[in-house]
Amino acid sequence: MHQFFHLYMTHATICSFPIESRNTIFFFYLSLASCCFFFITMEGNQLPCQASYMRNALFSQGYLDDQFLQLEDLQDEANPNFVEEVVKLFYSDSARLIQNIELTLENTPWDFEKLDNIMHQYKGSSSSIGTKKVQKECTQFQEYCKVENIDGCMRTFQEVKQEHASLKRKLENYFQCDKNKAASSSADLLGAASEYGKLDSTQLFSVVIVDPID
Amino acid sequence: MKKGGRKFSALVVDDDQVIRNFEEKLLARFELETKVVKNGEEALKLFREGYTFDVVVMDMEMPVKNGPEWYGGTCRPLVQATRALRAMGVDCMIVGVTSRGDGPEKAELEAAGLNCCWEKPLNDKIVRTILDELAKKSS
Repeated sequence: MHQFFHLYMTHATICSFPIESRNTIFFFYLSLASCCFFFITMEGNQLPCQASYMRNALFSQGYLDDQFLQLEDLQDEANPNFVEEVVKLFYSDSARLIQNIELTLENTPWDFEKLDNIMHQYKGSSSSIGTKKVQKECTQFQEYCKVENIDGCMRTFQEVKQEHASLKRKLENYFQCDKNKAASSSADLLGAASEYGKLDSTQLFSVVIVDPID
Repeated sequence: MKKGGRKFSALVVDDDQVIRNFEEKLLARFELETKVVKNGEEALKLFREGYTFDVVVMDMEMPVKNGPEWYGGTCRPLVQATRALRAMGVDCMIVGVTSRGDGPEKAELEAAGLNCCWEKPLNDKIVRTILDELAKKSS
């Protein structure tokens, strides 16, 4: 909106100048305004592509599977932040399970059945938000539990934690980008552009010409 | 889907809040009136209080309470819960969801009175299949 205000004030200022200098100043600011209009519309167009790009990358790089699409399908006007809320709940809830696994790995003799069961619970929870890479590591961890391979368990658990943290960061960035897109490419920018669009060069020029100072 | 003007109803039984949230929303999307509880004990309590449901969707790896049973055989409490529901006279559909795939636990649960099992997580295809079964039963 501040761009539109600037243009309006500039127009009002032009009207106060002598007629001879108005045209030169006018065409200078018209070109400046055109650049602003271009910037407004381009800025509005770039943000949706960025959030979409991040989302598509999460699928193409194997971080998410079709279950995430199920979550997105459930998001509507009544629950506009459903996906983010479920994801946040998962990360807050699963912290406890990750900690339980860590504590269990520290105690000897190792209880592989307990490790398997906690990991199984974590895997089930993560499957409901579509975490593809994380689930793969969870399955590997459970395979090592079955054969009581503690080194394999410890190594794979590090991978689980890494994938868990990596996806968390990526999803946080995606949600933030999506919110920024909604906030800044919203009606304000589009409204300013459309308001400016109504004032075409003929209207501006005719207002200037019919308002001589002499 | 509606049964004689009334919506179908569902009870979600799962100890994981993320899954409860998701399944409740998913079932509501298909117009099922849904309640959620954390474990088999709470599910039994609802039935004793006189609640009825057209379908119960139960997690197959859920403890009734924390303790040695949790680590010693994850489906055992669910077998008990299913048997207890059937013993109370609950004859609605009981559906299990699991992330363990095919296994001996499934056979035991079906013997206890579970109608069918599905691979976790619940999705729209599974819900449509459940609704088709409910529609056939009510017609």
